[in-house]
Amino acid sequence: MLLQLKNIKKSFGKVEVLKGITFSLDEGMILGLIGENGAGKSTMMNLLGGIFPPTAGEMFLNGETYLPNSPIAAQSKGVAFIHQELNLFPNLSIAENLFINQFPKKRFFGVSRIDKKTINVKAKELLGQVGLTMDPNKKVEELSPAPRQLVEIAKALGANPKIIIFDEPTTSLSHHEAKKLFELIKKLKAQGIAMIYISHNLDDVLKLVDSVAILRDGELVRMDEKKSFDIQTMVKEMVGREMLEFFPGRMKKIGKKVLEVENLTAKGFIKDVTFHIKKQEVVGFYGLVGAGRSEMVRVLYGLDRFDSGSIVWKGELIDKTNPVLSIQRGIAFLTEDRIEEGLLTRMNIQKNAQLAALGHFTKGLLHRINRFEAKEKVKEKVYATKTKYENLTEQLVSTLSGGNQQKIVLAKWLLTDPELLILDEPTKGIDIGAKREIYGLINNLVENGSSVLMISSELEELMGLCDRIIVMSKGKITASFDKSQFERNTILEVALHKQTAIL
Amino acid sequence: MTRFQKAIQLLLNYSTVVLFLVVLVTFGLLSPKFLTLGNITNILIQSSSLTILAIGMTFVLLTAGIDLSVGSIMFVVGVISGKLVVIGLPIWWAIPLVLVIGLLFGLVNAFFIFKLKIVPFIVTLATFYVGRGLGLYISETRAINLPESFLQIGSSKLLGLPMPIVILLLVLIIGHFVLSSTQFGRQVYAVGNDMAKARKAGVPVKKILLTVYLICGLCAAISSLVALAQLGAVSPTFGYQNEFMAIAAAVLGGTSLFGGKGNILPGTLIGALLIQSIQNGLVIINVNPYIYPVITGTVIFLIVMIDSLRHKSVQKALRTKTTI
Amino acid sequence: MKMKKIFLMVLSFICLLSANTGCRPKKKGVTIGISFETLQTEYWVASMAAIKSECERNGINYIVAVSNGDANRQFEQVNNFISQGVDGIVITPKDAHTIVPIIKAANRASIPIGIYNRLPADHAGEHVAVVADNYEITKSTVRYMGELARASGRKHKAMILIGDLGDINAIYRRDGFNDGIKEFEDVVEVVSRIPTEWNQEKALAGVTNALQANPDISFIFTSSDFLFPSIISALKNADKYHPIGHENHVIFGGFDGDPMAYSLLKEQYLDADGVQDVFYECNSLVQAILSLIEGGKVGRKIVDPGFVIHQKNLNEKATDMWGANLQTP
Repeated sequence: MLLQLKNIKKSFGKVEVLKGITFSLDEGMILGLIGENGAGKSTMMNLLGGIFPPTAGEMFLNGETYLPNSPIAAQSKGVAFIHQELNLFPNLSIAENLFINQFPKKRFFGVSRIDKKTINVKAKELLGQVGLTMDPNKKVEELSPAPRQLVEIAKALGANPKIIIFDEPTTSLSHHEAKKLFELIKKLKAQGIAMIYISHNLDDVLKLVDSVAILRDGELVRMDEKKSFDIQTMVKEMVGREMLEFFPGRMKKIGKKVLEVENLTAKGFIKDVTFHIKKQEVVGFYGLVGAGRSEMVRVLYGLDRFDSGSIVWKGELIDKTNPVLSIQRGIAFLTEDRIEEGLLTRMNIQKNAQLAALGHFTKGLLHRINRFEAKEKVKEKVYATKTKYENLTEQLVSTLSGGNQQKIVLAKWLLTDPELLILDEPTKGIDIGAKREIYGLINNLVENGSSVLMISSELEELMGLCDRIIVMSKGKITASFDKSQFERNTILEVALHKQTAIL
Repeated sequence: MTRFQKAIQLLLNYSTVVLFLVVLVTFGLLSPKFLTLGNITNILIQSSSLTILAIGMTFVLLTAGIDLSVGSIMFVVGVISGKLVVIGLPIWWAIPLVLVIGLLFGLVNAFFIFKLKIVPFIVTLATFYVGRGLGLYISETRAINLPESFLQIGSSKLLGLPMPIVILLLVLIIGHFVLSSTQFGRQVYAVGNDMAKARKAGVPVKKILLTVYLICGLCAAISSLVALAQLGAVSPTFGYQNEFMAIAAAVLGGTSLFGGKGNILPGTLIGALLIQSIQNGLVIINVNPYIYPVITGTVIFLIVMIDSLRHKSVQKALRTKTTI
Repeated sequence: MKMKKIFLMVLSFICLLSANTGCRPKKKGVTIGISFETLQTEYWVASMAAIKSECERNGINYIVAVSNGDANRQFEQVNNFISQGVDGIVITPKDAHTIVPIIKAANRASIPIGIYNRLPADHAGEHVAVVADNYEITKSTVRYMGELARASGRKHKAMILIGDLGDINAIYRRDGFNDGIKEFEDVVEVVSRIPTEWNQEKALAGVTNALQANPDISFIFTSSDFLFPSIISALKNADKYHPIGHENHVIFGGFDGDPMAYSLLKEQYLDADGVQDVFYECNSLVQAILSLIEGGKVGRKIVDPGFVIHQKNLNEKATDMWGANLQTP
């Protein structure tokens, strides 16, 4: 038995986040850890990773008491932690990131200096282990998300770990890249390294792990071998009830066209994009990361310029787009990166939620904000999104969990009563319960007369929610499917293979 | 990226160097006396004090900090060393003593910043006032004229090189070595990029912060001595506003005020030389004095503009990259 | 909380240091407030001392404040004077415009105000100002230097160090120089004008650069004596610092009349210096305020004609030169 946890408890103030967790992990074993946001997954991993100590209980590593007081202590004991937000310094080279705290050195006239040769050799070796063949002197900022992830893993391998914890490692990876990551994980397993794999993507979990542990409200509700689980049972255990109708239906009464896009081109990003969206229609955009979907909606919303083509909004030709005009027209945009672009994390919930709809709450010549009205309206919408919070006007958004943050962003845009809501990966990194609530909100909105344009990398989600799915590849639209034509493999194939000539 | 875009990127990356060359050539064409060996030596001597100050500043800026107190440190160091030498202490005793004073200021700055968690801007603004007040108090706001021996050091030579240039080269080489070839140096960049991440990665953040402010204080003290050896006097305005010159030199050399980006060689050196060359060139070609601030301002504006362009184009290049 | 306390302590310490406000109540009687914008050169230190001693001679109490270059703080300091009930105010303003609201505040409180050394803008309220005739003193000094140049029988190249271009006194001195030197166009050619912003380091770099461009400069005028060390250092490096009588002596003049000017004159390195008569200025300003307090009338402007001190009148004029009567530190 490699790792053993006995009755581990952790409280923050009066709130007990972990209520006595007991489990063990063997060498070369991959444990899938799942649970809704707030179930205590991150807390548990932070205990293992040495970020903070448990309130009660014992941990053993190789039979010895294990109580790391810092990430470094955990690392030296052989426990490595790959955070969802990678802990890399983009301004330094790959090699420097690998050795940031233990550079190989050599003496030079009595002065200890970094031994660049040794570093290069060692770095190449480590990168080789994760299948990267890059020059280790390349700066991390020049890398795309997938190789960055691999560099982080290589860094962990440098400390000869016995256990590696992965927290949502695939959120910024494409299918292909995720597949490669899984191959690497299996290779590491063969070397005897144990792994804890945390993810909301239950498909991946089932594909990859040996055992599954399910956390709910700070308790380990079930831990068992993989074969005794399927998606349905996992979801049931996670949320504590049956989840029928994962994609709730909605009344269909699709109207006339609201948005018509023709031959939209933004050099270097998208080319000749033509499509339309009707009133009360949900149109999904599918494709690989980098297919140009996000770029296309940025242009639509007015964050980036386009070079040619036309956009017709409710029968009127639009020659200029910018965010202010878009909001006035009734177009709302939920960006992919909610932390950096969607939220002011150091402001309170109220201020964040009212931001886009501020104009609705002003009165008089001076456009004074009617705070009372704003507060009431925000309260109403935030309630509708089922966000879990303590205090609207005092709690900072940064203290909310990922799913709840996303709901606040959604509430922010719903307050503007948008006619067209553009969603870019609205459920990325969110747990199943929150996902379902967001689907419900989208349906509500559409039933009340709005249209939705939604980008997602989860095909199931699009198939469950959309009236139409448009596939993009390398900046172009390559196919469009009506609901009756939805067929998982066909759509995937189009997205992966039918790549027309590049721009 | 197309070849054209690459060329633009390259040009933007080396904008300060390009601008420096443009300045040299322009003044060279306007006056035959500008690009003479004598004048180039002059520029180097005159920029030695500023460059040393800016090297210390670069360390601090790289950690996303700032040190507004360096000009005041220069002043205190100048006043105290002046007083000590005037009352008869040998120069070689006074020098190590005042270097310690520079270190002390760095220590105070670092203490308030990472022990009491007050932002560097406020802390060093406080030491800026304290230092200036202390210097005025000790000097009774009078100018101190230094003995001949000080000026002799300033005009002495080592291996045929004027002393200020020798000291400049030493500080430059050591600074560059520390920053680029030691674990400490690379960790400075890590801290500047993201302090929380650095802590997580096991980088001794406090030690790094302490050390950069010590380095900055020490550089300010050295810079003060180098300036004194050329001036031969300490007036109550000595070192005044030099912190801004130092920050300008570092930023012109490509150091980011947000930390984590920049270097001493060639960055800060070129930045300081650029500032000094412009000052020098304007005198050499005898421009109307009212034009000085206009030209200096224009150059700073150009650099800031180029810096922002550079930032934008990097962002764009990153976004274009597809991950298929 | 603890952090906040320490922070506040540091802040209040800074305020103490930089405000430099000291109260010195004396025997009952007339009290005036003295506010200086700066004490950063010998000249201001000497002026402050002269005003204080003139007050003491007349049995006047005084309160002193220095605002270290901050016009806003100076305004607050004067308001403090007014609320403390001073009978008169003597002030060195930062510039011609920031003094205007200060004068108006004093007018509202009906307290006479005397402006030392820097002339307020035209529309300012009731006040009395004493200023040196910067223009004339400089012009006379430069004329004396010009005569020396002509007497040398050869042509000279000249350099002037200009002060802060925002300081009206610096501008008058520059104009005095320009007009004075015009009469000697035949023997003196101005090849270099160096903006110093009243900064010794900039002055050193400027003079060095100018000597690089024109190694044959043989005529230097500085708009303030406190730039002497920079000039001397640059001259030494160029091997051009020689006493009067040496064949490579540079004709050398300054403005202020500070202690260094006096010793350079004595050591025969300096040819001439324009002197502001600090004693005259301070005494007449204090006297003017006194008579205003007592209900008398005085003119709006007192002009200090100043004088030029040079090798030939050194002994007879030294007693009037403030720099000669201070102890050199």
